[in-house]
Amino acid sequence: MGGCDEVRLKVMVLRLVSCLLILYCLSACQQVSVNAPNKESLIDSIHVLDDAKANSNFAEIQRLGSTQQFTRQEHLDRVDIRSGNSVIWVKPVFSQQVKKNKNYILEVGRPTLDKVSVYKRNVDGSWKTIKTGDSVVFHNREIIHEKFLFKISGPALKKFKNSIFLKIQNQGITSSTLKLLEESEFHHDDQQKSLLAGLYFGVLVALLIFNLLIFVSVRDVSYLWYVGYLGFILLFLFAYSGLTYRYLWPENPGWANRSTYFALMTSMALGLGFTRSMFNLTELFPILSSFLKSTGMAIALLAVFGLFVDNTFSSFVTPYLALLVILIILLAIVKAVMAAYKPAYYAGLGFIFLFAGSMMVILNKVGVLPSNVLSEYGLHLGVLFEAFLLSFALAYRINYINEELKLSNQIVMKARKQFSSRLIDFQDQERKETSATLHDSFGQKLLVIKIQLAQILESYGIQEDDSKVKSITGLIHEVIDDVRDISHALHPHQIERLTLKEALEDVIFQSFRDTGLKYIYDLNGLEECIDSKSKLHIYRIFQESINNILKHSEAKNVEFKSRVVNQNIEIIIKDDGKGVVGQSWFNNGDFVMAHGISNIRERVSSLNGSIHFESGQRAGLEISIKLACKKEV
Amino acid sequence: MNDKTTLLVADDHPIFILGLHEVLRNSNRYEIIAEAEDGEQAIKKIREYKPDIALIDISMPKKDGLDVVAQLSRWANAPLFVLLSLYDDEVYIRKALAYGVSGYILKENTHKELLKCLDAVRQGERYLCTSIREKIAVSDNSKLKLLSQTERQIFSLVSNLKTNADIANLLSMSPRTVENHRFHICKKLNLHGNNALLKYALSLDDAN
Repeated sequence: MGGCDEVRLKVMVLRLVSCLLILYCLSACQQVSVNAPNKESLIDSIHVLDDAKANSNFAEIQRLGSTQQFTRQEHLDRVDIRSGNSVIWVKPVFSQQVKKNKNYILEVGRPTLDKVSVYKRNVDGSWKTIKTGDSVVFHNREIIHEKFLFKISGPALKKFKNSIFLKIQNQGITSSTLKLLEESEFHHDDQQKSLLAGLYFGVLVALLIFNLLIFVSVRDVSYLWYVGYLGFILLFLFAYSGLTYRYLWPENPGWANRSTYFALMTSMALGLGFTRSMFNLTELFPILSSFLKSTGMAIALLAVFGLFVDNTFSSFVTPYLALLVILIILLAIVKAVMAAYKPAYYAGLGFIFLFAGSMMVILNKVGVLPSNVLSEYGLHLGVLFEAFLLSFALAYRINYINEELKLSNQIVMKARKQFSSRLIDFQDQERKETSATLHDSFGQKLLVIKIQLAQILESYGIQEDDSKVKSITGLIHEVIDDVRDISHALHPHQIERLTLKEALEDVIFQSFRDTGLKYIYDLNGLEECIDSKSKLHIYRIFQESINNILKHSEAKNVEFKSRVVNQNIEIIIKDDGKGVVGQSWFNNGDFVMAHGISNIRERVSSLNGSIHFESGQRAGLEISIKLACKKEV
Repeated sequence: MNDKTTLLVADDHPIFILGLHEVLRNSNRYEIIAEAEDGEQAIKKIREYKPDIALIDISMPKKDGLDVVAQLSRWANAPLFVLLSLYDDEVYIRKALAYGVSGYILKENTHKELLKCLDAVRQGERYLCTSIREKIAVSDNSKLKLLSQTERQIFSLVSNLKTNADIANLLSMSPRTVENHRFHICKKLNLHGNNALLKYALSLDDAN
């Protein structure tokens, strides 16, 4: 039960932390979004030329640039990259607000583009080329940053028209933002953003470690799935933001892209595994569960496969896989919620946050949604909320499992009690029948045999005193006695004919009468409280206790008492014998078995009563039994 | 018209009733006029046939023999009851005696003692079969063994219908002390209620 409280405490702490975090995120977002509208874009228009054959050189492009071969794009802040192998030339036209005396930074916002080159004109009219991109070694960059940044001098922009050309090559369809920012402003913003990013990843990594630790303590495999899933989603976001290339493998061009897809696909596979384990699908919906399992394994294989083939493959399959995974998980959520599996509520909400966030980002990418905090950082926010909600769900699940366990334990205990009580009843019934058969069939027939034998002997004039006759009739007599004894041992017929008090007094008297043991009894309330079904149990409890006293206790005095107290009947059987040595005697199997205590216990439990033993060395043994009155007093 | 003593036999084992017929065939003093297979039938037939003596088994379906006796013992036309049973439990015998039965025979002794018993009962005597008499005596002795010397003296005086005042005089002690002794005797013999000691003492005399 301690574990349960621990989990509850953890859940509370988690809730508190997440509330604070959400508050912080909201305020931070507000700051960013408040700043954003103030800045008017310094890009007037974006002109694009799709060089499908990828064979133009820069001189040619320069010429085309001035002859209006470029098409003007609708969006001011984004470049759509739609073709697989072609080269896209971009010619931004800057606003009049660009100042002559300031330096600027051109930002290409999508960090996973394969190749991004900039051709920029210096103040002296010469051209400078900077080649960068995901497939180019990291330290080639002019500014060390996860995004592609290029220094642009204000004087040159003012002096020459068409002074900037961008050459973008990328496998797969994507889009990228394009911004021109004042250098000081950029650094200010960038600082804020990296702070936010640091906090963001820090919190998620902390959550990941936290849950890993919980796994260590509760050993629930769902936690491991969660940690794997969240870990790869983080890796994906890290790669997606270009941070993996900057920090993890700057010497391995190409990996930024590959790792993005790999991490995304792996997280999908792990997400499916998590869903299976979290929603208890193996038990609730075995078919869906095995479907999830096989899909997850297939995606994991594709993720690994994608590492070794052209990136186009991964970029092509990932969106479809994502769609499939989302559908499957939604289905699982719906089914689990319909099956009233409560932990699914939190988890479902978590996934929905993630899906909603991703949808916003995708819709923004395809141009349906305008750029704002939600549409740009929807994925990040979605992951954040999801991570917390799933962690809640896990904690809730542990609670839920504990509750279920408690409940099923109770059921098992109840069933066991019922079973053992039924077993006793059944045994008693069986014995009663056997006893009756012995008595009625064997006993009576033996009697008739004896009587008829006597008559035959008489008719032949044989005297009863004859030694042979005596031995035969004596034998029959003995058999009759045996039948009577066995029959009585199997079932005390007194129970049917006497009041319980009479029957108990008889068994006490008969048991102790030649033993020299002194006994007193004061039995009250039995007729009022014990119904006919329970009589036999009480009788057997007395028999068993008396047996113990005679065989083991070495007692000199015995006392039997019963009385009614507050709708309960209390029965006390007390001796002054050697008692039971040792404190844990009632756990000692030998004692329990040898002394029939277990039988007494079971009968008491079958009567829904409570039993208490009190003993000490040389202090005798006192058995007190408390039963609810079956009849109204 | 018929000077034979009429009997009703109640037993749920036809084979045993058959045996009884055999035993009684050689005697011309008794005649079985009715038979019953269970307690309820027994009561009905006793009321109907009004036999002189009812021979009743204890273990019977529906109502057992002790109940039959208990129910009919206050009836004006009640027959004399003789219990026939396989049970030799003291508690049954005491109960039967308390209900006022005239005889108690173990079934295994039927052929030997039934006629003796019926003869005695017909004469208005009480008859317990030999092995039961022995058993009761042993039990009584063991009960009386619990009593001290003085208590036993008082007990035997009680059974001789002496009052407390008489006993006090005879044993030269105060009536209050006698009272006290009687209380202890009752406690040792587990007797409760008014005159329980006197009744018990008399029943002992009776049985022996």
